[in-house]
Amino acid sequence: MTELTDIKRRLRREAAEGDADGFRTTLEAFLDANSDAQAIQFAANRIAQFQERTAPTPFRLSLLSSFTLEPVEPALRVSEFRAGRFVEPTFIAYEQWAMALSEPGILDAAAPDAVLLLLHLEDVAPLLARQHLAADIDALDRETDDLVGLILNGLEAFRSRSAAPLILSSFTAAERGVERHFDRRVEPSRAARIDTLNQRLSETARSVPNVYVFDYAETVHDYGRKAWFDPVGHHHTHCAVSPRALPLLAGELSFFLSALTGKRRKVLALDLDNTLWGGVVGEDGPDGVAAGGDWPGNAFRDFQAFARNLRASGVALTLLSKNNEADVREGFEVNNRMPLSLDDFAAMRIDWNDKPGNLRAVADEIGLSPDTFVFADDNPLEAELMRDQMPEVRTVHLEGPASLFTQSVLRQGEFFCVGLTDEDRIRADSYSAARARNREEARTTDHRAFLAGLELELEFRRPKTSEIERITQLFARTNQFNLTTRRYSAADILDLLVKDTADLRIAKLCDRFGDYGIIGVTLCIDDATDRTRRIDSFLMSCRVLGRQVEYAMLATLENAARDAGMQRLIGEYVPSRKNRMVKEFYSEHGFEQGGHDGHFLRDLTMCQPLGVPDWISVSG
Amino acid sequence: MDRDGLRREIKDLLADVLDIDPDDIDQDTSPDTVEAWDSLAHIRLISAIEEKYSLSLPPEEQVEMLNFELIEDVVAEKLSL
Repeated sequence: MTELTDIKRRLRREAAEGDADGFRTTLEAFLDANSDAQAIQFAANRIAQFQERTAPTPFRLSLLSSFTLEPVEPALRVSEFRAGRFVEPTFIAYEQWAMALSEPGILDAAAPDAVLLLLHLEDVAPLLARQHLAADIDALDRETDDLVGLILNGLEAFRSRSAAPLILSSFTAAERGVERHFDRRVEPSRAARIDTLNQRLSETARSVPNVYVFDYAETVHDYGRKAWFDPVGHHHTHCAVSPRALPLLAGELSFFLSALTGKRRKVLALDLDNTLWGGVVGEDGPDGVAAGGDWPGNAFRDFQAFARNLRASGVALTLLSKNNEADVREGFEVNNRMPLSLDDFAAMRIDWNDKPGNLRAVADEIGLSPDTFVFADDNPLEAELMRDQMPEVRTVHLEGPASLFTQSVLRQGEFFCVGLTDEDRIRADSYSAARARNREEARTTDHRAFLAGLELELEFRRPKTSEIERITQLFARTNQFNLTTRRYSAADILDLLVKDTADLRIAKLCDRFGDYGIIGVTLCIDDATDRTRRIDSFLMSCRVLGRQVEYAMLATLENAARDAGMQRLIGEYVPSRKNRMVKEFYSEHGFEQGGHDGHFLRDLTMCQPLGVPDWISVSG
Repeated sequence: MDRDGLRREIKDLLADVLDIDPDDIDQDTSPDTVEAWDSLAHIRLISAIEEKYSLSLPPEEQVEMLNFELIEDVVAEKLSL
């Protein structure tokens, strides 16, 4: 009791002093030991106090709901703080969600960084929720059509005023009625109609830019419908979510917001023995290891299946195993019905060297920085060593039975994202294409002949709406070949696309080995008064270095500036911890060091146009 | 736990939820004397009490618990203290 009083007093003091590190450490310890509603509200009050004292950049979230969602605020402050954000929530009173979207005013005043729309079926489609058998089919149809119309009109109206991300939520029913045991085989089926409603909303999310879906229905199922909904609260206070479910809702929302705003890790580095298969191949032999059959092999098989699916979502797999390589190859050959084969790994190290060094080598080989890696190993010593030597790698110690590995990796791995682009889907395969290219390069002694043989085709043009997500990814993730490291959000990009002084372009590359997808972005800003164009952002994926694609892009930009009647082109370089490699980019390509620090100038009236390397064909 | 212990606990709870000093709470502390004690705070307060004492308070009782003494009485009765 006194210990608790002490820690509370300390939190008040640290919040009042704005002691960021101390406050975070103490608060985490407090929350690990106390998780009831009282503790969460105390913690939320301290976070608000700390926020007021230190004024950190807030994350402004507007919450539109069809019920009283305000009681989630304390839990949301806490889960957002733990996710590294300071939320500034604005709750829009529950009768006003549709109007707030469709008409300028309350929502716009909050200037939200994101908007969440969370509706309960009972509130917005009461016939479908409670009387679907008694209601006329026409009335039932009309109810859902009107609802979809209301949401869609609201989205489009809001989108015309703001580019902020909008998060829709899927529907589920709070209770099951008399249809419980016949619903799926009798018309009208409530469940089938809810499915259709969710389907129609998802289509909306694909057609309007920067709209996402928070799968509320699945979140409710995670914890259980009966524990989630509070039927008395629904009628009495209009808060239909039970108080105990509120921290779960808040936690899941914070997960979603992290996926929306954060960086996704790109690589999963996996141990092999007792991680991907049960047993030790060097001791038990290739027949003695298992990833299939009965327990425990079936649990390893399913972890492999998860890894394979993760790969298809754009995460590269790599293998770090302390073994003799021949044993491992034999293990994969003998167990060739496992979900994973050696071809699924973008790179591997099978030897007796230490794993931090091997992870670094693998990172170099595939051209990604170690801080984009997650490392998963069942051996606590290996996990500890990696944590100690490479803190930038997210290390997941796989504890307990293999049946639990998948959720451990997902919970800790920072692999969540709110959409998949075409580039994500082809990424893992692109590493195999890269290996084929590398083999070809090693075979050819003449580098120019190798480049000419690649048949490089560069598309360099304004983006389509469907490509905005990929552009956002590149802005968020590109660190090394990035001249200014300006992080434009999807909302910023939508704004830039309608500005006539801004020229945003994407670079899409392919060669005869495969498609690289969108590999670069440039942004030029014009100052028409003195005929100057400034290259505000120039970034490119490091996967395509060594082909002078960047030079083809720069030359094309330069020529376009000439065509637009510009007299000066300014290239900017803003140093960061990671972009030293492009320090000389502009000076090596005919730009003079300018007056400003980090400004490089090319006087277009005084020099010949830059030429595109002849092994690259560029189209607009 | 005795009645004094319960009183101290509920004071702490009110203080944490409403973000006020427990020493400022007396038997008459109510929405009329504490600005932060609005209808939303009351919902949060009731759910914190329900969770702490594993109670389920019916709406009719929730709306009656409008000062410190009344809250204490209801909880004491439920816990047979």
